[in-house]
Formats: sequence, C-alpha cells, structure tokens
Amino acid sequence: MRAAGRDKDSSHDGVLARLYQQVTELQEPRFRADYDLAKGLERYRAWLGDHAEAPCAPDAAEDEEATVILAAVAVEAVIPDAFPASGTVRAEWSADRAVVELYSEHYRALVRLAALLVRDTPTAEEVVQDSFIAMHESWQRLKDTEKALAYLRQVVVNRSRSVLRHRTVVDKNLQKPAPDMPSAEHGAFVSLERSAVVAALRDLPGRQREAIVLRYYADLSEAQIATAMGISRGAVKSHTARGMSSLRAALEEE
Amino acid sequence: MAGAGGTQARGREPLNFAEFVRQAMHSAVDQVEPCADGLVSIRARILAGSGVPWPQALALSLYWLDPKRKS
Repeated sequence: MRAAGRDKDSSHDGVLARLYQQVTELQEPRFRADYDLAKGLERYRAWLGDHAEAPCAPDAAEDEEATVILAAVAVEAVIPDAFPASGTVRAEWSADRAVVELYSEHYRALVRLAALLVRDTPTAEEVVQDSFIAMHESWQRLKDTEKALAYLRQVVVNRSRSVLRHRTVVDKNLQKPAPDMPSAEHGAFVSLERSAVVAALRDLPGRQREAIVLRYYADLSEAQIATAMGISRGAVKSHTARGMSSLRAALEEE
Repeated sequence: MAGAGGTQARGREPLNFAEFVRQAMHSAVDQVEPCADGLVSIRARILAGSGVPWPQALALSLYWLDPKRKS
C-alpha cells in the first residue's frame, strides 16, 4: 500500500515536473524564477482539504488526482497577480488574464446588453459566458483588449440571435399556455417587460432591435455596431432609422 | 401613456425620442444583476473544454478565484 502510494507520488512528480516546465516557459523570466511549485501544491491541497465537504470537491483517492494536481499547477502558474500591474503589458496578456480583466470591466454590461436582446437574464448570462469562452479560444489571434471586446460583442449578438431562433422553433412546437400561466421567460424577465420601450422592442425585427440596443443602450458608433452585427455601416443606419420609426409608432399607439 | 413614445413629458420640454429610448432601456435593464459566480463558471468551462473532468474543473476554478487561496 505504502509502495503503491510512493509509486503514485513519484508518477505525480514526473507529471508535475513536465507540466511545470510547460507552464513556466509561457511566463516571463522574473515570474519563472519566483514560482515555488511545492508551496503552490501545498496551498492547493490544503484548500481542497478545507473544502472537502463541497459537492464539487474531488475525491483525493480518485485516479484523476494527477489531472487535478496538474491542472492546479497550471492554474497557479497563470494567476493574474503574478504579473506586473495593469496597463503595462496588455498586448502580452495570457488568455486567462484577458478573461479576468475583461470580465471585471465588461461582464455586467454585456449581460445587460444580452438581456435586452434575449429578454431573459439566465440565458443572457449563458450567452455572455459562451462569448468569454470563445474569446479565450481566440485570444492568440486577438491579443488586444479592444479587439477582444469587439469580438465579445459580436459573439453576444450572434449567440443571442441563435437563442431567439431556437426559442421561436420551440414556441411553435409547444402548446400555448393558459392566459393565467406566465411563461418561464416572462417570469424571469417580468420587471423588464414592464418597460413599454422594452416591450415594444420585442416586436421589432431582430436586426432593428440589435441596432437600436447597440446604438442607444451600449452607445456604440456605427462602425462598432457594423462589426458587432456583421453588416455594413449603411445597413446599420437603415436598421436604426427604421427601428426607431417603428418604435415611435408602436409607443404612440399605446 | 404620458408623453407616449416619450416624445413629450408632461409639463416639461419635449424630450428627444432617442434620449427617451436610451433612458428607458437603461432604467429597465440596469436593475439586472448577473450572478456573482460568472467567472467561476467561465473558468470551469474553459478547463472542462481542455479535458479536465467537470467536478475538478469546478473545484479548481473555485480555488483559483478564492481570495483566501494564498493565506
């Protein structure tokens, strides 16, 4: 039993050494010299011990322990606070660091933007989380926070479109609920729907709604909206003008 | 509705319609607060996408973002 444990430890050490090398090669030399692998592992193991009751805490005896530790080292080694202060090396951020920084600056606003498009907060969060994951995957190409933010908006708009398309198909296949039975969507977004403008937005064609939300909620320029929607600036002008005209007509009817 | 379409607020100067729409969207949606664990979820999904089993990915993400991690 003890020998098996020693073999396992030895196997972990080999894996860890390889991983440590892979991870630290990606980091700047100053950090590489300072990182203490043993202490990092100790901290993670202690933390796991403290959180053993948590439903997500992995069983230490599981075969995947090596994977867990391996990933822990990777995570430890790319923690944002190991890097210089914000603003110094933005273009050289890792994908992980970019996610953290863009999340702290823009997540809430993006969720609200998505909420206006999909009219449901949990779905809006899912859409925005999807866009962060897509941005993480594309960071090597983006390598710039401005481009990354534009990319995030683009993915949010695209995913929101997909959600609405899917919802239309689902709604067609579902029986209409009784009048006194609010739909889940309505329940989740009831306070928002109290706004006459938001309610009227709902009835606009998708592109017009997107253009208006991006222009008047997100305060984007025509060029930024064109990028986010994947259309020309002329088309943005047209969708915005038509949308505003329809919105005004709908509100004046009430 | 008063100032229907927001073109005119009662007893005030006519309100620019675009400004009305802007304000209406902000007052409607600025009350939407995302869950506090969004970053944990994103982090866990990124790890899971790279092959780490989901429970471990979630544990690691919680660990990674725990402010007491280094204490």
